[in-house]
Amino acid sequence: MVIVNRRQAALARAEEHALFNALYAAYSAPIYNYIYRLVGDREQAADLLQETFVKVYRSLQSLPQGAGRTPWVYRIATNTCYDVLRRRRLISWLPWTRDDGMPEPAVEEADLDERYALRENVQDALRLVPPSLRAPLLLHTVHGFSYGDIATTLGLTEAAVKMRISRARTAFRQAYHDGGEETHS
Amino acid sequence: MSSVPHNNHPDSPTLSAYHDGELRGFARAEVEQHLTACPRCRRALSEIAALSQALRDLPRVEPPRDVRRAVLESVSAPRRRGRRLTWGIAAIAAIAALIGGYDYFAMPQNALSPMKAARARHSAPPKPAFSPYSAAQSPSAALGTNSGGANSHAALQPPAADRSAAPVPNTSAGTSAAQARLIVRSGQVDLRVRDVQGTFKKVSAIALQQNGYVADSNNNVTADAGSGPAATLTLRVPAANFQATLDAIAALPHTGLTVRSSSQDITDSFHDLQAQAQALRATRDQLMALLHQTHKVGDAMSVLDRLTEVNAQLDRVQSQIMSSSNSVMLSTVAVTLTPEPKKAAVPHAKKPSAWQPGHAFASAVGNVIAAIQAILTAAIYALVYLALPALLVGMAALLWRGFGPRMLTPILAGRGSGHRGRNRRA
Repeated sequence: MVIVNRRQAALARAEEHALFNALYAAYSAPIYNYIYRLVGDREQAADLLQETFVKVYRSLQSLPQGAGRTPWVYRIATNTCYDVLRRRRLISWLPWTRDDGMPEPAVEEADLDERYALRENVQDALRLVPPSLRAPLLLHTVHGFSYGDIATTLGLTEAAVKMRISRARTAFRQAYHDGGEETHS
Repeated sequence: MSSVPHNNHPDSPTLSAYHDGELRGFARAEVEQHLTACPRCRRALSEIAALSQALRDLPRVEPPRDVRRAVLESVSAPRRRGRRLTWGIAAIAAIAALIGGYDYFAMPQNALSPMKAARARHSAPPKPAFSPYSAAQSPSAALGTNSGGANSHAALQPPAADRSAAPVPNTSAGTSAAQARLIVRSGQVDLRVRDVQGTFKKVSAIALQQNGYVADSNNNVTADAGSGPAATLTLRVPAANFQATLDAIAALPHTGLTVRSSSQDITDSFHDLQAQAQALRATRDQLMALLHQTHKVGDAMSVLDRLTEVNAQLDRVQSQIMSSSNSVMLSTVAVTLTPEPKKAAVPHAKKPSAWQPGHAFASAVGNVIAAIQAILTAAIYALVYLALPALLVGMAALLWRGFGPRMLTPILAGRGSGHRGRNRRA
């Protein structure tokens, strides 16, 4: 009896393992890119990728079937990143684009070095977009999510997604042109 | 930014959603119509398109290879956080395994730790681990003669028959005995005999009779009586014939006999190994499937790398399974043959009932030494086991200190307090 149970447990573990491997093969590269663009640091992205997939493995029981899988995995990744960014007090540090005023171009001190060292305008501009806006922008533009999928992933309404993407674009454009051009109004 | 449409210009979110193909029906038609007439909105739209393209053109990065393994390690050992800690724990495990392995091979059989050796002393170990008195103290006084400790085996080749005639064991006989539980049996027979060479041959013959073979033997023909075992043999016999082999050896003519046998249940670890193998096979199959699907050379190479890694792991696990099942099917019997000592060579050959103050003193000293050694060994273990975690915790604290203040600096600088902020400004 004990042996039978152990066997079943072992089989279940093997199945879990195989499922995880399939998920990892399919999602590790896009998720890593997503996380990297979200946090802007490869080393940290690798740590977060690991953390994300540890959570994926531990919550395989609640893995949705079919089309729901992609938002599910991305939601775990996004929440993991937000947790860490919040833990490191980055979210509150980074500027927030407001409808009533200009976005503050303040950058975290540690980022400044990287910013001038990298000299990659797009990457730099993206860094200046607040994470809560950056996530929907990346999901749509780079990862091809529809607004509905983004809403599922981030737990927002579609209207909020629409608003955030638009604000992200404005912030991104402003950062990209370094405040040189006027915003479209 | 404004969300108020002037002159029927669509607001930013609407234009953005239009670009993304998220507008339907009337709203879409309205924007389309407006665009035909408004160059400013067309420019805004093309700017959105250009920025989106710029984002899509950002170079893709490849995830590091070790992440997947780190994930699996951290899910198999719960409550790990971060790769550094995972590696630290892996390092501790490796060191513990090294220490354990060293102990296992460095200490005599049945004496994995000095504590255990001290406890096992009364069951007459053939080779004392450290106390020169322990063998002499043994209740089976007939055997307690190798107080010199080290045995000077001349390492002569055993008779040719022993090595050449090792048959392939009849393995099917052993399996039926251990179908429900997987038991590894091993026995130790210490014989004191008058004719060491004759007994040596008889023991070898018993191994063959029981469908087994002599795995290892050592026959010191020049050994003097009283200088320890003159010959040792290691027999491997089918598990079913284990008891018969012990009985047959015990039935040989002798003047002193100690028989010990032990069994170890490896059912659980065996099933673990099987599950591991199964999981690895599943992974391998998936990688194979993935390999057929990949079209890029780079992808195929990384899948191949993983495949090689998985195959190597699978091989290791399978060889562990093989050796485990081998040790279940074939039991081990270690035989030592000690020549009958001359009366004069044995200092404590008096009647055992006589009062022996010197002997008692010696054994007391031996016990104290054994106890001190055991305590010291435990202290060394504690030191080694605790030093690394302490080091890691220290490093984690340093890291935290390294990161923590840097994150806080902007606040401190903003409020004009904290020397770090001031230093940076200067």
